[in-house]
Amino acid sequence: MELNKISKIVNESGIVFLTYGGLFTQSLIDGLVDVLENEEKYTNLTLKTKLLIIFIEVAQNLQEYIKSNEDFDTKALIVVTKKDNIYKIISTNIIKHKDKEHLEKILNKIKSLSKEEIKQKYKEIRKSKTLQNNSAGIGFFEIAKKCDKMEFNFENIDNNFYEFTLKITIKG
Amino acid sequence: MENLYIKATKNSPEIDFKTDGNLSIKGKSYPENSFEFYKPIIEWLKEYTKNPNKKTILNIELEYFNSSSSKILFDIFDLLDETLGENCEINWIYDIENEIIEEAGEDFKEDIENLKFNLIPKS
Repeated sequence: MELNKISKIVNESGIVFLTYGGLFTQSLIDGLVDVLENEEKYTNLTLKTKLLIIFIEVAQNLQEYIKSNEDFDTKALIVVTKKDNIYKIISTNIIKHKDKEHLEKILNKIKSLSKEEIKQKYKEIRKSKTLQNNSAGIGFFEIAKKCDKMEFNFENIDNNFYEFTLKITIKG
Repeated sequence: MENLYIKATKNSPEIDFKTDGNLSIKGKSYPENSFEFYKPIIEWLKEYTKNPNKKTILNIELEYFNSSSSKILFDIFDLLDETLGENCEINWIYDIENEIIEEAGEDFKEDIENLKFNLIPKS
């Protein structure tokens, strides 16, 4: 492994940090939130709070998915980059076919809504007496409410799995 | 009834609930399982509202919180709104430069019907 090559990629892409693995424990997430909170210098508190909240939503969605799918090897990657005061959070993980359909529905629905409609839908979900840990639903609305752009992609791997990539842009 | 005190952690807020009606939630909220974390808190509030003080004041000062916590906060406000109404006051305290938390407060305020929900900026 050539470390200076990795260094070059990290610097050119403006990587703040990246983490890859099969275990997204709460202590890992706590540690990464710590890094985001303290290592970066932010132009304003609003931007910092947006970034922290969105990062937490993405990381905990992954955490939840990995926890509920211990039967298969689902490794996940999160990268946070910064260039010209624009932050990006990119996450990738392997998901099951049935989860792809469900996710795609939610994300396409969000794509079709205006900022105001997203806000209303978020409040609706928040009010509803659904299962206590129905995460993925409200989480994506939280992200969509706060970010400047949310993009996603599903890449077919085989009959059973997809690679799901989420890219979120947050402007200062 | 006893007072309820839970120390803050990296991902959960300090909870300081006193039976004299002074309640406080302060810090950050993104625990791994917010349902589990807030369960004893909601239980305490349900018990408290059966025999509440004449006046109840809840001071909330959160730097940031995840969507599960947001859902639970809504449930807490709803409970207080319905059972205590005008005898309860909620102070949503936020850094004056934090538009995100300010907006979150405004959001919650929209769904409150009876109690006093105050947005308090701090500089």
